[in-house]
Amino acid sequence: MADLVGYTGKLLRVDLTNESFTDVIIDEEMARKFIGGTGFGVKILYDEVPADVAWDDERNRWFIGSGPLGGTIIGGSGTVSVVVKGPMTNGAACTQANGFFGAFLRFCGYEGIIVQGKAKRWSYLLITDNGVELRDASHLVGKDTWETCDLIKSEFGKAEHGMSVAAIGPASEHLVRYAPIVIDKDHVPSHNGNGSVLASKQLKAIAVDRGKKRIPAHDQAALSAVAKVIKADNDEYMFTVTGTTGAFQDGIVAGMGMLPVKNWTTDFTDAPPEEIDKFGAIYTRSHHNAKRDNCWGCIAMHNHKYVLSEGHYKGEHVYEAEFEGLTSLGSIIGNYEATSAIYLSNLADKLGMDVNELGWSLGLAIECYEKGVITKEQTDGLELTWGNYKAIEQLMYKIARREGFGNVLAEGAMRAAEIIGGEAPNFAVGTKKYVTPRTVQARIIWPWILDHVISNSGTNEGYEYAYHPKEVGVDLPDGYRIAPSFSAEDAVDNCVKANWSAHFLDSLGVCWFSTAGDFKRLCEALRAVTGWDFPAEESTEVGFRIQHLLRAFNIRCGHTPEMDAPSPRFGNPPMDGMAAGQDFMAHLDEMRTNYYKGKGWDPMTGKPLPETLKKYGLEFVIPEMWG
Amino acid sequence: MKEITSSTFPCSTDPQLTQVYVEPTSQCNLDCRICVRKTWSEPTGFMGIDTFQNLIDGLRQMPSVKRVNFWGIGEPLLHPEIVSMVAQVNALGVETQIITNGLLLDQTKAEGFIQAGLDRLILSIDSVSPVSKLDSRCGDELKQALQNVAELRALTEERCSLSGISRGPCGQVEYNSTRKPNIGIAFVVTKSNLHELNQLRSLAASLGANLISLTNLLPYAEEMQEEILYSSTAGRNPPNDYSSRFPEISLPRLDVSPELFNVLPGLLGNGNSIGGSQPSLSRYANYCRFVEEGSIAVNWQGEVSPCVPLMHSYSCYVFGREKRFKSCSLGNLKTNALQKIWQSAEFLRIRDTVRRFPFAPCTDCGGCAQSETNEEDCYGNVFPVCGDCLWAKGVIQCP
Repeated sequence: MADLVGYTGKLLRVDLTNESFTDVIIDEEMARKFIGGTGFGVKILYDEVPADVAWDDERNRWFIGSGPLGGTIIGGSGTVSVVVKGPMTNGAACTQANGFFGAFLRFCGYEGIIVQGKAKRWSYLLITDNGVELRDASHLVGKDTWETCDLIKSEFGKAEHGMSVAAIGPASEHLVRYAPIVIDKDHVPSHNGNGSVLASKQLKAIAVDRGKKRIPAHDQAALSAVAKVIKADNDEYMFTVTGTTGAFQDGIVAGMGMLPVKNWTTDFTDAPPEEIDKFGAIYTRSHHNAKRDNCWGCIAMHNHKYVLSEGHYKGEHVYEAEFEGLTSLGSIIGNYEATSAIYLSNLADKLGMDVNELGWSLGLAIECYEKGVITKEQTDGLELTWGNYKAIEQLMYKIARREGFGNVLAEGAMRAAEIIGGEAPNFAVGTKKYVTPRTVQARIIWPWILDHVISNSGTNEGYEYAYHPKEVGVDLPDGYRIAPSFSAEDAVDNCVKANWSAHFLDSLGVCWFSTAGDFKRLCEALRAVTGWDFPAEESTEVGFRIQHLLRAFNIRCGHTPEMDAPSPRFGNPPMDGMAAGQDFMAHLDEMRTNYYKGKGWDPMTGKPLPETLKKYGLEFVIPEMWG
Repeated sequence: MKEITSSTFPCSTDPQLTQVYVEPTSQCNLDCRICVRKTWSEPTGFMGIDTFQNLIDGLRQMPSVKRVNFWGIGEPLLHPEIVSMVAQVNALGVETQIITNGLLLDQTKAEGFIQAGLDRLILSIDSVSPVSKLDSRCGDELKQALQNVAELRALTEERCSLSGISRGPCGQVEYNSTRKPNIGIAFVVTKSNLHELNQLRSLAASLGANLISLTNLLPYAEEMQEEILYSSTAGRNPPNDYSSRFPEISLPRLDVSPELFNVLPGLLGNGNSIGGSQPSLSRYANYCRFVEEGSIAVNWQGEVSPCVPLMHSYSCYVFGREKRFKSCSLGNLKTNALQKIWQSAEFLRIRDTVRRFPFAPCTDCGGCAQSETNEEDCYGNVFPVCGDCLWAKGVIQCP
């Protein structure tokens, strides 16, 4: 068999129980059908995790992978995707983060890592040019993700970008359901508790050296040409100037009711616009001693480091918080003191908690406290009022250690609401898969709600802003998904056609910010790297294939159509704002059925139909799914 | 798809050679923390007389040369023939300039430089206070350097007194810039010494200096990265198209005042930096002074480079990334005539490429495998690639 061009050609399998490392050779068929990253992870999950394996079973697999564009000159190609059966949904998780890890992993010779088994003691994995080693991590237990990252790099005398470290924090060690790994302190594949899965295997961290192996492209000149075009197209300064926080500027979101506020009891803030502006990067970068912190090959420059120059946390070293961190620890908990939201978002990364699930869990607790559903006695004496960020800081430590009331919120918003009881389930924001949506204003864009609700990945399956559907054969207008939309028909149409894009992009090993989600160009890059004749339309085929296989895996895990539904707070008409009176829930059955039909799934059970599975080369699923 | 315009400067005729940077030696009498020599493994030495003579012969053939700068990695005054070197260049009618730490500027050398016709002596310092965090000079040594320069100036006045010293209304000596050598101050500005900037004017006045040249620090050692003052947006390419988010800002001349500096961050936003060496508020970034002004750099071994940064091979940190710069030699004066080197096809290619500046925007980027050295870039350019050059981005500047 000819060597795969543009690939390292292998995955690393780490069996912690036996302390063994083996190479898994990637063949052409696997590469072409599943590309890398998310695609490889989903295939491995389906092949290797049977129905009776719980998320914390040592037979569960934990996968992290780059993709064929990883570590190339395509901007933002340090991206990785983590795939696992996670504790939030008891189904699949596909979640990605940017940075450097993916590039370095490929430079050490691997497309991805499959972790299985359970270590006899707390350990960490070291991967270098020269091999793989399982090392004692007893000195790292209890350390937060930042301390762990620093300690491992200092053990080897590595500079900041001389090594990449993915670490779990105290929240994972205490099996908080929404605890992810955190890569190099501020890059977080955040969804579905993948860090707790790693903790259940007693693996504290994975350190990847900045290897020296390079993967030659089939046509370097063609790759240079497309990299240049992607960089030029991306050089629009949206993320450069404002990061992901642009919506905070100039009162844009606050004035239009586009922030999720106080656990979605309202869509309007009660803070003056100038205070909301202080969340935005134009303010924060000029007031908090900003220093740039770019990812691999990326000119978007949307990451920065700060030293906070004002507020209660003045002097703290932090990373620029993303939009979702700022809403989770800001408006959702009624906190309009920007520096505290920035600090708490960073604290979530240090402790190793998904800011989305954390924000909705905290919002739920505060609303319950406000409405007398829980008392001060139940909150261990904490005054859980809107915006009381000092109490929230204490509560975050309690959650990370599962102490007192923290043990309740460590279950996530939906489960915590069931534990609290009373009116709480009516307050909880989430889906019937027990996972919360991203802390964006999804309620004004029904395709976002539908995507969150039906998603098989623990988060969205489609990318919202910057992809060019017509160029890959999808008949949707550009920018369709960002406009406010309350049409059931449009939501189904959009999601049926677009909910493949995240899976394809996250299989390539690149960031959608820095590549502007330009699938036509990315397919050109894939052709240049691999030498394949890979038409742009094939990207949709790959994305759909991954989605169908994910669906099949989740059905194996017990997911049912009834779980493709939002909680009352998520789906019922909002009280105010742009979506006031818009009743998503009233259209749910119709949307779900039409979505299933559009996807080629059985409209009653949501199972991918045999002809759909055959169409996408997934015949091996049919016996289990259909007998 | 947007067309990529690497530079809006017209790339018209090839520039004439106007300026030569000569490194008399790469050895130094100091051991500063900020110096490339701290992390360097190249052999050090002194320029041979024959090599220098070849340069002089070359300069005779190239009357377009207006200035020779005696400067490099080492301390020029360590070279035993430095005064003679200056005199030989001066005899050609070419302006001369020396950059020195001032410690070896004894009376003999001072007298020699005056007689040799040195046009300007630039004192290189990174502090005006007795104890510097960054160089190895103790307070007494800085004091000595300042005293040496003051004595040079006094000697210059004394020599000029033969034709009459100018005095002001209060009887103070008025330094006349037509009397050579002029004095300049080169200052590497860092976080540690930023607070001293307001003392530079009085220092310049006390030395009779008519030039203060500031530059940023290029960190050669990892720990020095904390000292830089351009962590955020300096070096950033301007956008291809301006927008309401990132408008082109045209500043008129304004009185310098604390009030102005209070409001400038709000006006310029985080997408801008300010500086004098590059018009960084406009779209004209990516400007290589060395090439545009027709320069060469000659190291102590006689190797001819297109610019000072490529005189030697070294590692440094560019926006947090470790970068290996490989030196670029277009020929050696020991074996090739200066004119022949200047007109070589490879030198012409490099000058033409640098003036078009088609390089990848490395200073904007988190780095890739190509950006680890200056040998190629992700846009397909080949050695030497300059997308990561902080001189071309206006961050580092030479006097």
